[in-house]
Amino acid sequence: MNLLIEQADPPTRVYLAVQDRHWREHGQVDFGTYVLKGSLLVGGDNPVHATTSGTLERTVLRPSSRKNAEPALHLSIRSDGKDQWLPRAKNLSPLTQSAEALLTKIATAGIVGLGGGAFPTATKLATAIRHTPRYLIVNGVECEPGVQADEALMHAASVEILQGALLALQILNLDQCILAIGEDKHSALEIFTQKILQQELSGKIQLLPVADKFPNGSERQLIKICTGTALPRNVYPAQLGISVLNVSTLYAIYQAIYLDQALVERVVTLHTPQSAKNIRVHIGTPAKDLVNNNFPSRANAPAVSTNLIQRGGPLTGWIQSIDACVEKGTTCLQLIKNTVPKPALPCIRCGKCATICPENLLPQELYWYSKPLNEAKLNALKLTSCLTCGLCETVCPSQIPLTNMFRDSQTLLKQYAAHKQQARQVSARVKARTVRLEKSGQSTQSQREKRLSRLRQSRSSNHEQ
Amino acid sequence: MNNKRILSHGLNLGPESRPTSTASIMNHVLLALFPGLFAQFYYFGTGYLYNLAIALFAGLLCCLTIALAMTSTSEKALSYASPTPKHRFPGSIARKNISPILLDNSNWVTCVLVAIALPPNMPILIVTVAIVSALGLGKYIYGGLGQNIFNPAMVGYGVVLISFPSDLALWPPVIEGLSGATPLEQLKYNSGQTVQELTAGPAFGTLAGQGWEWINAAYLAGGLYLIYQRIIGWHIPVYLLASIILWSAAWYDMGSSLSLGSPVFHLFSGGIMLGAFFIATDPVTCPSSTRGKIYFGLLCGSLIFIIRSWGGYPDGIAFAVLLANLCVPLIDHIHNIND
Repeated sequence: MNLLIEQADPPTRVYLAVQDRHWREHGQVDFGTYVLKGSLLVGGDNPVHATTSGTLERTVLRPSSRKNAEPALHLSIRSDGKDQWLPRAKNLSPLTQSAEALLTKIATAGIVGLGGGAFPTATKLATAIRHTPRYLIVNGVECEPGVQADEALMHAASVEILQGALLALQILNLDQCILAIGEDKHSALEIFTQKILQQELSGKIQLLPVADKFPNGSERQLIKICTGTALPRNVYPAQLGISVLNVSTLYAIYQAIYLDQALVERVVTLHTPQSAKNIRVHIGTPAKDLVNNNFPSRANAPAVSTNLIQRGGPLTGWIQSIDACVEKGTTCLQLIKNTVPKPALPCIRCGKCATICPENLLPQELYWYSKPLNEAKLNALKLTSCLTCGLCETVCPSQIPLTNMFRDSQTLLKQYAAHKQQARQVSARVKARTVRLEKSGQSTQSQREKRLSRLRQSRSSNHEQ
Repeated sequence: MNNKRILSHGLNLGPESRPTSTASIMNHVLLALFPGLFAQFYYFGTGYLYNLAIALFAGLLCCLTIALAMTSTSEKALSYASPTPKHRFPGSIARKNISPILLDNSNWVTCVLVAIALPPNMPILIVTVAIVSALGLGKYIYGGLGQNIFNPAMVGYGVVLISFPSDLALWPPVIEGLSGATPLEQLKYNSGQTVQELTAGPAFGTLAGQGWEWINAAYLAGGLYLIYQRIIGWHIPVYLLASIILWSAAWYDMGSSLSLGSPVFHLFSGGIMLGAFFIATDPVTCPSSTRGKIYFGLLCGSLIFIIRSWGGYPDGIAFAVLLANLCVPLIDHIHNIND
């Protein structure tokens, strides 16, 4: 595949997902105003920036990019086609700035994990700082077959990625980081070896080729490879002082701190059944526009589904409406063939899924208890540590759609847990209220009695008169 | 997900996880049964082919009946039995039709296993009862492939073993002119002879019973092929055979007249290799976790030895496997994660 990155033209409209429920309180711009690329539309913890210049129109409900999500609120911007940047600050000297200042900068630039997780990077780094940073791992493994957005970026922007890594080291106050790159990416490995030598960074950045095996690029698997110890289940890496940052996240950090750019574009691998290319896309571009602009004849139109697209790689991806937009966590979009999947056979518990599961789970049991969702069993079987990497489904002789099922069950478990939490809070509040009412009731009761007795006294005295 | 599409992207999964299909797994099992089938045919003659033919024919009729019954039952009626799915429910018995029942090949494996577990030249009635119980009682009454808790072949064999005990004791002699008692029976009812005196008899070969040792060796070869092909795991057979060795070593008693037989004798007698590699390893009815499989193997082996030595039957594979199957939900409950 071609590792060049093409620059996409701005689409006629971009749709920016608003995650903050209280976004109106943080809104910075009125509807109908002209905004420039990079200007802040919604502040707060999940900032939204205009990704191209144009008019901020209104809010619309569009299919969410997330799996199993209801249509989500998006801000629509009508592009003027000029793609004009907001004036940016110059003469930045990041090396003299404090970690807090840099973290604030990262947070306001709206940087999230670009490897797919889309977790706010500033929060991740801040958590690691709170728990004493120990390791910084730069993730350039990109093990999922067919996804090459990171590899393309490593070719195009190796110097910037190294600068980003140095900034992350500065923020975490660490001396050394590990740069993990997939063994199959020979040219990227070569480029980074040269660049590290040229810039004399070998004391700070340690290059580590990682075996080309799926899912070695997953955060937990990579930590095990780099540090030699597996993370305990239900412990976040940041809690142990380990930060894993994707190369494209580091590139975004570089852009935010050196160039004062918000995160408005990302590299996406776009697949058709025949070809694939890497495109730098404005975040918020509808997948439909992206496909139409890049494959005008839809490659082989009759074979390709016209209203569906697969988001994510061939293993971990999920199929959704082509109206959904490119978001910060979108690494790959695939046009899918219009074929009816083979019907699944019953599970024969052959255990192939259990032998290949990178998290040592028992997918056949998870499957059994997912059919009628058995919350207690699924929690005991640690469904939450399922990476939904898709390997079990790949090796399943009965072709059961396990990954989707587990993703669904995870969503449901999360919802159940949230409902339970809510119920606990409500019952606590109700209890507190009854206690409070009883207390205040007692006091009002006594007051009322006093008043009554006073009234009676006065009445009786009146009668006497 | 389409396996081929992922492979075309160059996903390296390693030899242990080639994408397969259920049907091809069952084909491998059938292929691995061939050496043992051939050995049994060699020692017991065409009576086995007769068994096999009846069993397969009965199996075909049985499958067709079940398939027709299932398709004619409306989805609505069955939805009471099956949990109403919010998720897709690919295993729903209501949606099954004829083709998967005949084409997933698992039923043929069951039929072949029943046919070779029975002594040769069985009456049609007995073979048919065994097959109907195996597929009906053992498998489809629970909802079909992947839903049963007992090994179907052993359910079928167990039913006829209890119902027709005298017919099922009729093992023909391996060599003409010998008495009908199998080596295991001779050892069990040894009438005061030491092991050495017994094994000097004409019914015994170098390792165990004449003929039986080669039949077991052939099934061992087939089982090793299955492990090599990663169709079955090694844990259950290895721990099953290990527990047999331990038990028989403990009761060997230096070959006295009270001895229960040497470990080598026990490993190559009766249906032990068939049981260890083809029956106990049935993935549907064994535990899922590795540790669970170890316990399951040990339990099976111990039960086989106990039934052989102190039970009412000369060999105990069927009842041992069925009893161990009973414990699988408990084992799965205790060890439900591979950590």
